Amino acid sequence: MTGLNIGILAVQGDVAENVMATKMSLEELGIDGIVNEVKTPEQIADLDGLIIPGGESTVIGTLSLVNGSLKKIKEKIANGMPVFGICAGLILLSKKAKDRVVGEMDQPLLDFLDVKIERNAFGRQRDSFESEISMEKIGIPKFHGVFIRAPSIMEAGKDVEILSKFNEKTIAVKQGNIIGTSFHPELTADISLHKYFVNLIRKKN
Amino acid sequence: MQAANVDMIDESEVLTPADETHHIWKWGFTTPFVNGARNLGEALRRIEEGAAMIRTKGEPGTGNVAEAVIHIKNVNSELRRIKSIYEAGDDQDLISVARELKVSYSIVGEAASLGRLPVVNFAAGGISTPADAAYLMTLGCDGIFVGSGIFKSEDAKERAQAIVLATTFWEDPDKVKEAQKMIDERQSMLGLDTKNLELRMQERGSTA
Repeated sequence: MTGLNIGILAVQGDVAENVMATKMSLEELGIDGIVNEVKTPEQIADLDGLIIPGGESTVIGTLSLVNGSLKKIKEKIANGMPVFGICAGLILLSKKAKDRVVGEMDQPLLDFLDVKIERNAFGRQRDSFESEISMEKIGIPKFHGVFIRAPSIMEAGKDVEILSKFNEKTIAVKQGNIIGTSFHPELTADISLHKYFVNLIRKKN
Repeated sequence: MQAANVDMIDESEVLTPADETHHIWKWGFTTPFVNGARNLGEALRRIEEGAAMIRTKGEPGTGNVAEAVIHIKNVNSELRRIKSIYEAGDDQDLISVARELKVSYSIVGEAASLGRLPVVNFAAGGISTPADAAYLMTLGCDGIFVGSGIFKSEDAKERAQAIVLATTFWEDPDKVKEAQKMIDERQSMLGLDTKNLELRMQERGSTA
């Protein structure tokens, strides 16, 4: 097997931090692979795994739609490529999203995660916060959650595993090879969740 | 503004400053601030005051992007200089730079080791076309702020979409060309002579 090819969708948002956390994960796990920023369908076609970072989900969705990246991502996920959606990335992976303030959203979604999302579930920019959370089910009992205008998962289908809750709200889920979190693991020094995702990619390949 | 629940505050030089000697001490707020800068010293002073984002000042409202280009090039060349000092391990020289820029040694050290500003850096001031935006992205900006270039134009909607596309796909000349075709060049601001303006906004607060 040649090394893993992991991409960070680089349309907008928290790209550099995810590149760094993923590179460190490969190194710590001793797995051979490369991590690149990706923006075009051609770059996405070659990937073994993809992180859709935090940012603004309508922006990332709309701009990925215009150059055909969204279609390519859909195709890859349908073929089993592991994908990790963070904050805006979680929203993009979902089947349905509404906004706490604006209401029902008409935005491009990838339509894979069987969940209904509430955008800005914890409030506006200044309501952003940090808190200790837990993801026992995947062997991460303690994690520092950074929530920036974070979404939450209001409803989840039967195939969706709930990995974590905070104040009664679901903030991390897994469905097959898809992981989604409301919080930003790339903004902490703890790379255990990125390592978990890298291992998921390795198992698939 | 924080009490009004806004998501971000631009401590803008376009407004007449109430305090001509100090900027806002931004650490006292939870709402993130963005500040303008014409050079590395200004940028680092604003970051030390708590700015979460930096943008070039450019010369707003002129449709002339040349000043923004000068500002980003200033910042880039000063960053290259301190990075090389850092790589040479010359702490004494870095301390001289800190004194010259009127900032702490630690923030100079941080920028020098990163080889960039420790916060995101946008281009702003005079941008009015997709080509302006794409060009500034090639100079290493993290993103683009556009105000009057869009809002005072007759084709605001198309222009906004075109500038966003050119900013996102700036590495692809075909996409930038497509974006440029989405706007009517005759509607673009003419590009005022920024050297002979009655009031140069960029000079406000630049020595503080």
